[in-house]
Amino acid sequence: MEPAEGSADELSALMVRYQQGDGRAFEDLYRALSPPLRRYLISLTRNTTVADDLLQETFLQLHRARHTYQCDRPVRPWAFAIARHAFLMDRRTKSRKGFDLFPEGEAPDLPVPPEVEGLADRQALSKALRSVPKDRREALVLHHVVGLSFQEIGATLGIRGGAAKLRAHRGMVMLREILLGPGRAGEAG
Amino acid sequence: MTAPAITMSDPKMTNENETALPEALRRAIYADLKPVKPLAPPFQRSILLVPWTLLALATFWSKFGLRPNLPQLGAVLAWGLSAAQLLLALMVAAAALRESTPGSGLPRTTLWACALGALGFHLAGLALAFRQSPFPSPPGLASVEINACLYYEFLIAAPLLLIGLWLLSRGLSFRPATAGALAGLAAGLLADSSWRLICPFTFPSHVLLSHTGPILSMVAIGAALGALIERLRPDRRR
Repeated sequence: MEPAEGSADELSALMVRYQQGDGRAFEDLYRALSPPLRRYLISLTRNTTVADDLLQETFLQLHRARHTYQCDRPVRPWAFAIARHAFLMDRRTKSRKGFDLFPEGEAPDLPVPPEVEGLADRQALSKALRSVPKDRREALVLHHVVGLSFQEIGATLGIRGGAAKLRAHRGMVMLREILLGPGRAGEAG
Repeated sequence: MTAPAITMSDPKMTNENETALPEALRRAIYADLKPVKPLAPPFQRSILLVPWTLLALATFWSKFGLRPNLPQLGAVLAWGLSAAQLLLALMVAAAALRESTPGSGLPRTTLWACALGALGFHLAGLALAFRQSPFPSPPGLASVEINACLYYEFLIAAPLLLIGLWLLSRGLSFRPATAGALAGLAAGLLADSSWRLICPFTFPSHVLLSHTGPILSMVAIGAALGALIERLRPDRRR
C-alpha cells in the first residue's frame, strides 16, 4: 500500500500556515496532496483530463473553504471530501446539461491496488476494477491505492470506519473473483 | 474576494509531473491569499444559539409568568427536562455544524439516531408532564388562545433557525438540506425548551399540534432554506 504523501502532523502544520496566508505552505500542500487526490479523481472520473480539471477545481474549493479546516483534525479527509464534492457537483452539472459523464478519448488509466497488480495485465486490471460497484471501488481505491486509513475514508465519505473497511474488503474480494474466477479469490492472498 | 474559476485543463498538468502547481491555479490562489480565521469547533459555535433562547425565556417569563402547574410537575420535570432538551438541541446543532465542515460530517445512521433521539426525548417529556399534571383545556377558552403557543414557538424558533443557517453558511455543507433540517430541529427544540416553562397545557391534542408541530415545521423549513442558501451562494454556483 502506498501511503498518502506527507505525515498527518506535517500536513496539519502546513494547513495552519496556509490559513495564516503563507503561499509557500500552499505550494507544499499542493505537492503533498495533488498526487493522491489526482489518483482518487481518476478513479472517480475514469478520465485523466477531467480528473486534472477537477484537481484544479478541488484546490480552488479548498482555498475558498480553508477557514473550515480545524487544526485538531486530519487534513486528508477534509481535502478528499472536498475533491469528492467537486466531482459530484461536476457530475450533476454535466448530467443536467446532458453531457457524457464518462467521455472517451484519453485512455482511462485507473489506479490499481498493488495487491492485485500481478494477477493480470494493466488493461485487464483496469477493466476488472471498473466492474466493482462504485461505493466499493471508491473505498478500495482510497485505502489500497491512496493509502487512507479506514477512519479517514469514513470521514471522507460520511460513513463509519467499519463500513469503509467492509466496503474496501468486499471490493477487493470482488476484484479478485473477477480476475481469478469465483472461489479462487482467497488463493491469491 | 473569491478566486476566479478555472475550468480548462492546464497543459502543464501532466502524468509525469503531477506535483507541479499549474500557473493559472497559482495566480488564482496568490490573488486571494489573505489570512483567514479558522472556524471554532461545532459545539462551541452552537452555543451562540443559547443567548436568544434565554432572552426569549426571560421575556415571556416576565410577560406571562411561569406555568401555573409548575409545582405539580416538580423541578425535574419542569426545569430539568427543559435544561436537558436545551443540551440535546445544542448537540443536534453541533451535528448540523459538523455537516458544514468537510470530512467531519457524521454518518447518516448517527444523524438519524441523533435526530430521532432528540425528538423522542421531547415527546417523552410531553408524556411525562401529562401523566404528572394532566392539565385539561379550560372550559370557555377558545382554540385560538390555546394555540397561541404555535405563534410563540415560531416567534422564538425563527430567529434561532436564522442564526443556525448563518452559522452553516460560514462553512461548506455537502448535504445542505440535511444540515438545514438539523438546524431547524435544533431551533424548534430550543424554542420549546423555553416555551414549555410558560405554557401550562399538557393534553396531547394541544402539545402535539402546538409544541411538536412547530418543531417538525422548523425541520422542513430548515431543510428547504439550507438547500436554497447553498444553491444561491455565488462562489458555489458552477
